[in-house]
Amino acid sequence: MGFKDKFFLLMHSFRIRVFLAMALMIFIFIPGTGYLFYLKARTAAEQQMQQYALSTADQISKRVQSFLAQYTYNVKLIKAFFENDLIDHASEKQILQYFYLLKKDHPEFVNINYGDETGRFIMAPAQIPEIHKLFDPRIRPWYRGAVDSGGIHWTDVYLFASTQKPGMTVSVPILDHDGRLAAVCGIDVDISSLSRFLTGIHIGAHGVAYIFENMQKRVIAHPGLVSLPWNPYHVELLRTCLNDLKGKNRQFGMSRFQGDNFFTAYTDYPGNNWTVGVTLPVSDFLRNIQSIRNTIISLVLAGMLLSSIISYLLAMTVIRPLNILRNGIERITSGDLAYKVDINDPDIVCELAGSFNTMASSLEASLEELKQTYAELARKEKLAAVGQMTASIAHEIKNPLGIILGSAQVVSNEKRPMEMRQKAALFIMEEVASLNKTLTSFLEFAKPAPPKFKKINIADLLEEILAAIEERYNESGYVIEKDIPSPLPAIVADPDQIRQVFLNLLLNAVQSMPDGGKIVVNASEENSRFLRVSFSDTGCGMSDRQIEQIFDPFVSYRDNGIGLGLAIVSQIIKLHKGILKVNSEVGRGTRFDILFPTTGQER
Amino acid sequence: MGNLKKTLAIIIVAASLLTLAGCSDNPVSVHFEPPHLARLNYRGFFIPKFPDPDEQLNYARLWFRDINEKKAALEVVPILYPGARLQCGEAFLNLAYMDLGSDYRFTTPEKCGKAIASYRNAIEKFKDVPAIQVKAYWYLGWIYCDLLGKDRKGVRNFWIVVKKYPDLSIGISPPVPWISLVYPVRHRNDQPVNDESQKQWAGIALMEIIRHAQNDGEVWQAFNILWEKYRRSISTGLALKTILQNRQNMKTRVLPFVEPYLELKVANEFLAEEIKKIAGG
Repeated sequence: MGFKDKFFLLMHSFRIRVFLAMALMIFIFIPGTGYLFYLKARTAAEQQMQQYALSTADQISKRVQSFLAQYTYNVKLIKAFFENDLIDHASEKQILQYFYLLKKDHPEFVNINYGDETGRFIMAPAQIPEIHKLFDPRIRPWYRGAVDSGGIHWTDVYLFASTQKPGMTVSVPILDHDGRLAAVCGIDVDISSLSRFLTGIHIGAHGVAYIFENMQKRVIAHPGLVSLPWNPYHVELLRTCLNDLKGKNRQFGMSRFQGDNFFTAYTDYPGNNWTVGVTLPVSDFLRNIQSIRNTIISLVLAGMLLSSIISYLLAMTVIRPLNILRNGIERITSGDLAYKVDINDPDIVCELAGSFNTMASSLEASLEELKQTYAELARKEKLAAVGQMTASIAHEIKNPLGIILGSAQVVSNEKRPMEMRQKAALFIMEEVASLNKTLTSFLEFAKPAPPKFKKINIADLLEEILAAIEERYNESGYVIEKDIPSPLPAIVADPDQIRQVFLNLLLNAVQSMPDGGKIVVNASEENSRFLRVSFSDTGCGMSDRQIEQIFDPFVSYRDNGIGLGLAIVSQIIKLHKGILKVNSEVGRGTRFDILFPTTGQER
Repeated sequence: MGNLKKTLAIIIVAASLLTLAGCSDNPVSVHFEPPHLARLNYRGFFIPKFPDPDEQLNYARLWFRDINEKKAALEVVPILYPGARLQCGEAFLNLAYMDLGSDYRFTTPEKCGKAIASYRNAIEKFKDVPAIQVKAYWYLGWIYCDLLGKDRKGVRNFWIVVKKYPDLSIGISPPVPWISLVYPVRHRNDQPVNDESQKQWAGIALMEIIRHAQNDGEVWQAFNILWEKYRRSISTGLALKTILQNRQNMKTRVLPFVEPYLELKVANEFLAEEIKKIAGG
């Protein structure tokens, strides 16, 4: 049996089907539930991440505001010094001394600037000379912005010529005693100091806080800018994430950059046209829920394993009553009609068992009734057969006895010529021989010898018989054809009785064709269970009515027949648990088929 | 049987997908660390080695909290890239400027002398690099005139700039160190104040000659060159303002240039207004 056949049988197994049905339910239900739970956990974690990122951005925004407030405070302080005459506008040396003093306390101040309406410009530290020669503070945005606003002014981000770093300037106008513009002072704020400030903020393992300048759409501060060398990947990443989010008009979302996913949240920075953003790799977020996912996967796998075992055991429980019923059927089939199944399940299986037991009881009663009917019938048939047989025997004996009586009278009459008396004596002897033959046949039929079974080779037996028949009848116009393949399955039979069966059938065939004809003998295997042996002739054939009677004893359609030949054949075949069939057509011939049960594999 | 098989297959695939879907999304690893650069330990400072002399010089030109670290970064440029003459010269000039102290307004004659020697040394060492030569001469002129008050010596150096290097430009900010180090090349142009206006060393030198020359003839000669060659520069406007303000005897000679200059609209509104006012007065 190949793998395919085995698989086919396996798939047809009721037990496997029940198990699979349960297991498949498990394989869908448990992973499905697990996955839904995972999605829910992920959504919850994402919401938490959103809140965290947004509130972090808010906090950073507030901290940036307070960080920048110190610059505002100090520029106001400078203004107060000038306006309260603590510093003399005319003294460059005094201005510089104060500026350096202030710078000593605040090294984070990049430059401290002073410009007046004459174009005079003082800066600490000094400008490089070739720039200073051409520099006019009055056209600088920090100067103009302060003049125009009349108060604190923050410039946009620009590049400081002195340090060649980007930054912005907070400036304020200085007024004279009459309230007219005297000068403008300002402090340059290095954007990288903001980056340094952002470096101290830890947002997950790889999170980054940064400041985005909306006007020119660029990142002006982020931790990556603090140290050199610097990786341009960062600004590209942050710029992409923020622009993507702004394009979607959302404050929180996921963006893709160079194959990786990032969460970004942002909040607008009050005062400047800035955005404070927070971006962190999704991997950070995933790491947080990875433990949840691992737990779910473990639970799902354990659940599936446990449920598979349970479903297998359940399948076995479902199968158990059916097994009991199957055993019951086998017991009843083998004849034990008194057998009752014992199932106590409180449902349909119990009802099924009840019905089964009722059926078994009913069968048992029917069988008992059938036995009685059969016995009665047999007794009646026996009586009828005895009557018929007695009549037949009487008929068979009566005629010879009449002849014997007449012949005996002739023999005993001395007046009769010797020749006649001798002839009469011969008649008596012939009739006694005939009576003897008839009685022998009758005894064979009435009390057949028990068969002596043994394994025989039917082909050999047929060959032996056919050889004898051919020798006897070949020259009398009989043609015998045979088709006996070899090897044939072996059968268990009494060889003498089987020989008698074959001989009777062959002689019947010969006798049905007084002027010669064709006899065909076939042997073949039938359905691996039987051995078929056929005898066909081209004789006178029989009518249906004749066929019905030919196996009855003392029925013969020949003048000199006793009518026991086919009856004995039929009897022997029954003793061998064989099947005897006859087909005949008047004027065309007759065919006898005998089916012998084979012994199985042996040949 | 066929249906059973199909159903089984669909269910198994669906279950597998559901399970696999739950197992996907492996975390990605994203690092925010800067790229690794070799570092050179020089005079106790770890100076990063950049891939080209421009970047190396730009790094050295940054603002450093410790002045000694800046000096070390500048001195490393010719060590790492001895063949890059322009960058080595720029580093040399930066070091010479630092000889003046942290603020030249508080420098001393001694420091000036040291700086002058350094600039002269630069002129000797970088004869093959005009950009270094012109800057060194201009700085010599500036130190003599503005810091030491030796106008004659200073003017002499300015004249060398005018005569030997009439066309050499100064970039006030390019190349911009911080931007070149921080921004990818394709984003440099959209950064703020990347001043690439063409200003010639000779133009500023002429303006300085006009400010510091003792005789009017020399001033007039300088102004004429300025007008002829560098009319559209801010230096011309500032020179006009200086003559009108400080050299009364030359006022009438330069007045005819006021109107044409203002018509060029190169001066800012304040300078233009001042020139107009002084000329009118």
